[in-house]
Amino acid sequence: MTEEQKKDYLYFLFIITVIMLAVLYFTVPERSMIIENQMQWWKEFKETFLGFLS
Amino acid sequence: MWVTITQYIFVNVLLFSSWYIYLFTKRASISFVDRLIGSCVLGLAQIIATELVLGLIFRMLYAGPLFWLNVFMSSTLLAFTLWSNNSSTSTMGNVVSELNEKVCGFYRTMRSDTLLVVLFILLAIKTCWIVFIGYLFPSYTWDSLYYHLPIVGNIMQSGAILENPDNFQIDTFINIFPKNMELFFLWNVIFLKSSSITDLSQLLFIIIGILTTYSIAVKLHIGAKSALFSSFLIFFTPVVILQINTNYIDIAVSVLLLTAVNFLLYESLSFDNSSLPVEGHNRKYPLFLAGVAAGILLGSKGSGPLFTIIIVSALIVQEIIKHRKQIYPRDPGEKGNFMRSSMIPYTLYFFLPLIVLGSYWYIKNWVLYGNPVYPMEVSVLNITIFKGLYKKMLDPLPSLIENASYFIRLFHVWTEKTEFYLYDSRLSGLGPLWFILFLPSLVFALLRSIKNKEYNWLFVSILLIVTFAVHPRNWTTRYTIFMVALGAISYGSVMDFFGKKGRITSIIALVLAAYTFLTVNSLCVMPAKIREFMDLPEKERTIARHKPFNIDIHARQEYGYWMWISNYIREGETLAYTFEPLFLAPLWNDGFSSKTVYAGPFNNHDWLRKLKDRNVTYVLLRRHSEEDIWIEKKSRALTGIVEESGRQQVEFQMVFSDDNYKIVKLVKAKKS
Repeated sequence: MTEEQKKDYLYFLFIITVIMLAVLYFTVPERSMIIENQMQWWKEFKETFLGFLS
Repeated sequence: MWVTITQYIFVNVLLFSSWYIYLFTKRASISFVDRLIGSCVLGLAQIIATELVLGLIFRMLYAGPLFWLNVFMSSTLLAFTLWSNNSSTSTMGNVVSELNEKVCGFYRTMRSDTLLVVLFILLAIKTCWIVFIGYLFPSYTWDSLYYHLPIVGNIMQSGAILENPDNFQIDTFINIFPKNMELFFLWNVIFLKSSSITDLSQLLFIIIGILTTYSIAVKLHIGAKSALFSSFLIFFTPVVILQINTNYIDIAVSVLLLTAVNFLLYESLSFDNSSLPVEGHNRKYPLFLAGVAAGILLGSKGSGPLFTIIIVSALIVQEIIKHRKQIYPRDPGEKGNFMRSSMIPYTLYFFLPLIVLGSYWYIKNWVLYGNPVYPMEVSVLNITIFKGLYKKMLDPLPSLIENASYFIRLFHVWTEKTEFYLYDSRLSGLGPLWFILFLPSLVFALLRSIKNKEYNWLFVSILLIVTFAVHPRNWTTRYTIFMVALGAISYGSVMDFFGKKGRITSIIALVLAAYTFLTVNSLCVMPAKIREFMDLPEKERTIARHKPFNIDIHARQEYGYWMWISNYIREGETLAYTFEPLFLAPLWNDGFSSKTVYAGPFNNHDWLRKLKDRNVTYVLLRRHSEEDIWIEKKSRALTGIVEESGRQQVEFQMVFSDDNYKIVKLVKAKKS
């Protein structure tokens, strides 16, 4: 196996690990609550900002 | 007001620039980025040292003496630097041209990569937002109000660093905590006569943190672009973003550890100085800077000794490996002078600044309480070395992870099973970048460094991983921010290893940074409140008006008198409190120019005399307390009480009252 092929395998392994961890991280039930809370924050920000501009 | 702002800017510019110009003359031994970091560390050390001298020896820790002492020291340093380099004009010219060249280099590196530009824009926007929020809102976090800021208040009101009477449990902690970082908070209050920007003190440390991460990465042979990208990424850690505008000290502690490690890399085990971005190598300067950083760290937090022991142990092991031939010579020809080549430089340049800047607080505790880390008991193998009040951490574990094993605990915290981020969240805070990208990168880089015998890599990794492993609360994310930096450096190494192929990982990193950017808005600072505060004058932007949710449920009964204090108590006036308040910090006015004193326990014989002896102006009372009943009894009406006390007559005038508290003013009454 050439060095370049080895690198390809390692790269594939790394990407697979990253994807698995991402799935694990973003499928935690609490993630949707964080996102929901932050969407609420940004909604209030938008309203306040538009109010400020007018 | 403009005078105080000018004074503050002038002394800071002079202080940090004089150290930078001094270090510029050592450019053959220290790289450009390390000189930037070094000037910050030395400037900080000067601030702490001058405050210690004025507060402990002269007991004159006021704005005037502090300003002139620092101006004198920095001017002397500047004059010495320019004089010893003969041509002062050319030195200054070289400093400017180097800065110009480095800024252009930075711009060129940035321009070569769109992802890097986008990441930097996100970082810049968030930083501006943090500065805006930090300026607009007062310090609102629990520990800031509980002890970090009261330490500042106690020192400012007495102009000295003293032990306070142990009236309550928190006073014991206020007395025994190492206070280097609180001295830096004080620096950001004392000249401005306002605490409006002291909650931004940790901004300096995240800047040092980014520079240090970059510098370590470059020393570990990571390319400039990857090093820059990965160092920017440490900023996108939720607990970091949320803590920058608080008077907490966790970013500072982690960054000082990294800074010490960064300078110790000049003491490379691999003897491969090609990794050091300097022409020559004079070990004393980096070693001294490592000692200064470690000294500030030691004197900043109770966990400082643990960090210091690990750094020193790592150094000893490294030196023994480096000088093994001198220590155990196989033939007489190999025998060298280990003492001269290793021990003397370490003692002079590393241990001396470490002890000078960090040991005072522990020696004081040892002398006063018989235990350097009082009130914690120190015992080894069931043998008590130092007696204390507590054998383990007071703070109980969160119930969710209480019975979990070591790794499950970490897994729970790193997957962040919480509904929102908080500056001191115990169950989240390192963010998605750490778990998804940095963690596998760390494993990858570690295995690679073992395989390739990259000693510098192993030195940095082992030192930080051991620090993490032995930390008794390593699942608390704010205590382990330094691991994010190690993860980021590892990610930089992965980027370099995969080259162009790894571009997709950069896109993933940017997406995760953007996700963090969008999801770390503090729920303690809601947009409607920001709008409300923008319309208020500075004096009215108080914690009582802010009502942040993190303290609101406990503090809502206190808002009334907090607001009254911030509105009416003037410089030099003294407020006496008669009970253990929720937080001590709101008992001072905004600039900590008023004074507070505990007027208890109540004794109807000499209580009034005590108040007079302490020049008390106002007394804060609980309704229906002994003091309140005593005043009520003596009065025919709530205002206009005249009480004989010795020769003088004292009048209690009620100036504030709500359902729970009263504030009465002591005024000398006319003799009837």
